[in-house]
Amino acid sequence: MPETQTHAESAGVESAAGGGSWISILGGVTLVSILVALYGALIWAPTEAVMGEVQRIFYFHMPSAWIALGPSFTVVFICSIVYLVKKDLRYDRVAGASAELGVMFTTITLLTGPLWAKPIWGAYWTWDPRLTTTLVLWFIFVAYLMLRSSTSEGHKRARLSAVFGIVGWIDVPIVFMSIRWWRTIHPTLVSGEGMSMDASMQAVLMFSLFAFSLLYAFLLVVRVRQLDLSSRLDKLRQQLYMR
Amino acid sequence: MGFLSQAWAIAQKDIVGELRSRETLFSMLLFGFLVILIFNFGIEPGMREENLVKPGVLWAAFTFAGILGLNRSFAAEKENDCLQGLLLCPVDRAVIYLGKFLGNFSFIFSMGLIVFLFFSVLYNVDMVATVLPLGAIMVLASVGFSAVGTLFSAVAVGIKARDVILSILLFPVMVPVVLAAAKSSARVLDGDPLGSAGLWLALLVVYDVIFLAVSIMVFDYAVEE
Amino acid sequence: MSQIGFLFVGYAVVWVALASYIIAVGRRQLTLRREVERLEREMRAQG
Repeated sequence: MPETQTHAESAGVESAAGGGSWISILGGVTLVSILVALYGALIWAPTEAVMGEVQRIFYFHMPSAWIALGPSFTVVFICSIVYLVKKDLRYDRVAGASAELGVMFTTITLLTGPLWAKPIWGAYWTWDPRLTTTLVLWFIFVAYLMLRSSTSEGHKRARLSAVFGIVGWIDVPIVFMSIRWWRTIHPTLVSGEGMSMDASMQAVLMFSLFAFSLLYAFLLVVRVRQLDLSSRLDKLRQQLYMR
Repeated sequence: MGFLSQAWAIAQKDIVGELRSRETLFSMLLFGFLVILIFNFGIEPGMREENLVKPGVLWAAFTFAGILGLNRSFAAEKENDCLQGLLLCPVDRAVIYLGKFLGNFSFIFSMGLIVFLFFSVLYNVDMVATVLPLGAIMVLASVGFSAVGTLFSAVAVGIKARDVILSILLFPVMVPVVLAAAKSSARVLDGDPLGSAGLWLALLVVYDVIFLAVSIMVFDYAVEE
Repeated sequence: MSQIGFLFVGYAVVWVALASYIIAVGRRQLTLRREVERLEREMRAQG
């Protein structure tokens, strides 16, 4: 009896390790989209009248910001709630994977933003509300991941992370509003506006946003499957050494 | 025993204990004073920008001293396994949260007022004119700080690097509180009526209401075994 | 640094960040693969 059980389990592990072909297709489509977006941003799109060539960073900066502030943290929020209700560790794994991606996209946003601002407005940092909120978001993501790494895997870690994930997500819009009020009272440095976009530029931006969404989805699926595999391996190892 | 009186009973335990030992309050006050002192060395009294920087100094001191207080408060709990004892009581977990919150709020608010007094002496602030409006701001800020701080203390209690993780968790979430408190304090210290900071006060009220509600709902999960 | 310079560094940042993440995930996958094989061998040995 135990033999067939573990053989079936190992088969399950096999398929998780091998992966479905649909993931490869998603990966391929994602890669192509990113490359097309890159071409569009660097070559196809017309040069912006006022800002010049460096404005092209925007085509990758803005979608990163959108993915960081939007889907990645919201997935953490939703999975945190669902985990607390259902106590299914899979949701905790998805939350963790999404937070890792969130840190990556937030970091990209925070590095590309100043690189775009410096040649145009003369300063690396302008306390722009969106970028400043992204900075606070970075700290929240990092705090979330540090909380996770300070406890060993399991329900306790999932529970505590979920609590912080929920509070953190609710905090972000409040942070944004408060910084925006602050900046409207003291608009000393220029904000991110002042860019004129024609139809073709908007098209590139929209497509880049689409490409980044695919990228996020693909990387999330890959990482979650990896975490599932790791979890199943742990259980298998335990079973093996229990005998 | 009613819901509120149960919570108050829990708060009383903390407050009475603190009044006897005064350990946490003194450390918080000392630390708050030190922060103001250290910041002062970066500021020339009487310099043009002094009015812009002063509120920031006050609220930085409040925040750092507050975190110290939260850490010590839950450390004492852990040492005596008080939290375990509390959890065994046949009360709603929300009552435990409220009790801890009320206790923490008392410490934080008292610390804030006394730190403000120290601050006013050092910076020649007209205490008579400002103590009431600033007290109101202090109440709102202390509520927000204690609401989230109590919840995160419960989260951090089970973690090895407890003190550090509490600061890392709490600071980013405190950004709206510190910002709103500093901006409204700036108006008050400039001599404007409290109403001119209405927007910031509204933000504080909204923050307090939202996070008190969320913390009560979620506290159960933070402490369950 | 010229405008093109900033543009270049900007895109380099994106690629470096993405590459680092993908490499980290890839290395973890290799470790997991090896672990799967090891466990399968042990299970076969135990019968």
